[in-house]
Amino acid sequence: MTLVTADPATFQGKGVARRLMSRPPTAIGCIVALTIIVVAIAAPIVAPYAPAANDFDAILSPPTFAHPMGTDELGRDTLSRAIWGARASMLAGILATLLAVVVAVPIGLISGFYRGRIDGLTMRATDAMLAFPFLIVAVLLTAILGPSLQNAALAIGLVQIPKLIRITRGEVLGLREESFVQAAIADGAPDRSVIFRHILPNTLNVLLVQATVVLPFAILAEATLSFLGLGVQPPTPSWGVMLTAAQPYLGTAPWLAIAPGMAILLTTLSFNLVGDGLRDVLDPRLDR
Amino acid sequence: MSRYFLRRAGESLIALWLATIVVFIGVRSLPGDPAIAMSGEGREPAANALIRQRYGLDEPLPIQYLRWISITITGDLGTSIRTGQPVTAEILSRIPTTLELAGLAGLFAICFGLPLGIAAAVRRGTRLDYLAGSVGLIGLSIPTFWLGIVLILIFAVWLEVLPASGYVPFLEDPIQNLERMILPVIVLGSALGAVLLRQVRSGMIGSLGSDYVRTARAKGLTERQVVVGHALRNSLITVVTILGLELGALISGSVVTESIFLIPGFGRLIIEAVSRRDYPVIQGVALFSAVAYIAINFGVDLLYSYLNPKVRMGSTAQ
Repeated sequence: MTLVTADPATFQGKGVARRLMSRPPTAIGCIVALTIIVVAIAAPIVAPYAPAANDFDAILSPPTFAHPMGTDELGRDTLSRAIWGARASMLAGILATLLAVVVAVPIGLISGFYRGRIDGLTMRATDAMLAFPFLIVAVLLTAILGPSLQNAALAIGLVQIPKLIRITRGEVLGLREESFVQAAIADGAPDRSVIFRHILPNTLNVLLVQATVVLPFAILAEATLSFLGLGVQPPTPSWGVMLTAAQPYLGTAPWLAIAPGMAILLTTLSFNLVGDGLRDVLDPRLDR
Repeated sequence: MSRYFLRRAGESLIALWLATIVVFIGVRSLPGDPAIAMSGEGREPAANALIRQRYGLDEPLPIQYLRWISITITGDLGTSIRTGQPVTAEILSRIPTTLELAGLAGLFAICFGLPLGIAAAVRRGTRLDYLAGSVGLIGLSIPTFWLGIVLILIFAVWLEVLPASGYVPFLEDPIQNLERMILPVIVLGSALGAVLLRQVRSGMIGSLGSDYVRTARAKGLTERQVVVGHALRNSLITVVTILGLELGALISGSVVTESIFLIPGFGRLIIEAVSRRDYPVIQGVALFSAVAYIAINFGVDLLYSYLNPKVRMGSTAQ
């Protein structure tokens, strides 16, 4: 017979969604973020031109009816390239976030649950990983692996791992002492069952909030790496690459810098708004 | 205090040791055979073997590591392939510029994040609070390099009041130096300021509702005395913590900022080294930044424990 204990693991999807949408900034953030995701997926349909199509009659053209955001030095439509660029940013952001979660959460769970020597070792390892600023890691990895979207995502995800390990571990340390977990242990439940059935579900709220912090960071980081020439390589359209290319024409064609920059700002801003809302709704300790 | 000090010093040393291993393995995994890089393509295999033997590249990795670390610990990071200069000298010559940039950016961040965060917390729910919240969120979301480009566009291209890029050493011409630092400092400091603003605000809201502030109010202190004398002190702890946590972001940000504004600092050295595949410099830069980061974090933790005795007391329980 198993003990019946009050397990607070609850993720009331519907209730959360309703509470999120009742907050105007979060609702706006959700709508904008969803729109950007849809645009990224539907780029071939939504974009007025192909990203590499040249219009040699309109080189460095200011915004016109045919090219609402102008064209670049090769006569390519800035709006279309910005729409296609959303794909690179989303892909890098999602890959990096997935990598960080998939690697960090199991380590954090084990480290926090078993404590002792495993935990000490994990903490020292995260210390060493945290000693390298993000761009230094990215730069080293690019030097080793070569610049590409995948390697940029790898570098971004890798940097997030130690932070996520620590957050997961911290949650587990607290949960481990809760009566429902102690009851399950006393009841003779195997470790795996305690970790996956009692502890993990109760960390999901915090992890979801963290994921919404990591995703906009990753999108911003991908743009930064591509801007520095360490991420997506031209001619593939990416917001960072477009901004690098726009720099020499700031005086004559400033519109080249506006579209990709606004795209990055809108994306990170909307995801941050969603993240802020989720945190307020899901994390009762952060009463603000 | 001494026990906490020793514990943190020990942890820092272990982190440092692990960091040297990461750098060593990282640089050894770089593509290309260092022997061929040194002797040049197309040399006799025998010549390459000789170089391998001479530099100990044929020895097992742990031995190579020990040899490398014993040289590195004396401050010798090798010589740059590109310039032939010692890597240590190259790094040290770039540091003052980056320190000036990062220091001014930190100052800028404190000057705008701290007062705005406090004001938002004290006037919670008012228009000022929403304004501060928006500024914080935009500062957090705006890409550093785009902010740089937009500022150049506005102040250098359109208004023509500030130079677009370039660097003049402070000792050569202080006024020109500062004039050229204005835009980079805003670019580098705004994200940090946004983080500070948000953290100070939520920390301040927490302490304004706490028991000791209620006690201070009950004692009959004026609101001003409560805010400045009690709640503000806790905000300073937040500032120190955030500055420590965001140090890595500041180093990363200086790479981007120096690239946009063509400032010959430490951050630009990193990008130059990678684009030229100057491996000794890459290795030196990675190691140096890890050492600096660990050392500064150690200092921040000590300062933090001084400001907040709870950290020392709780240090053994964690």
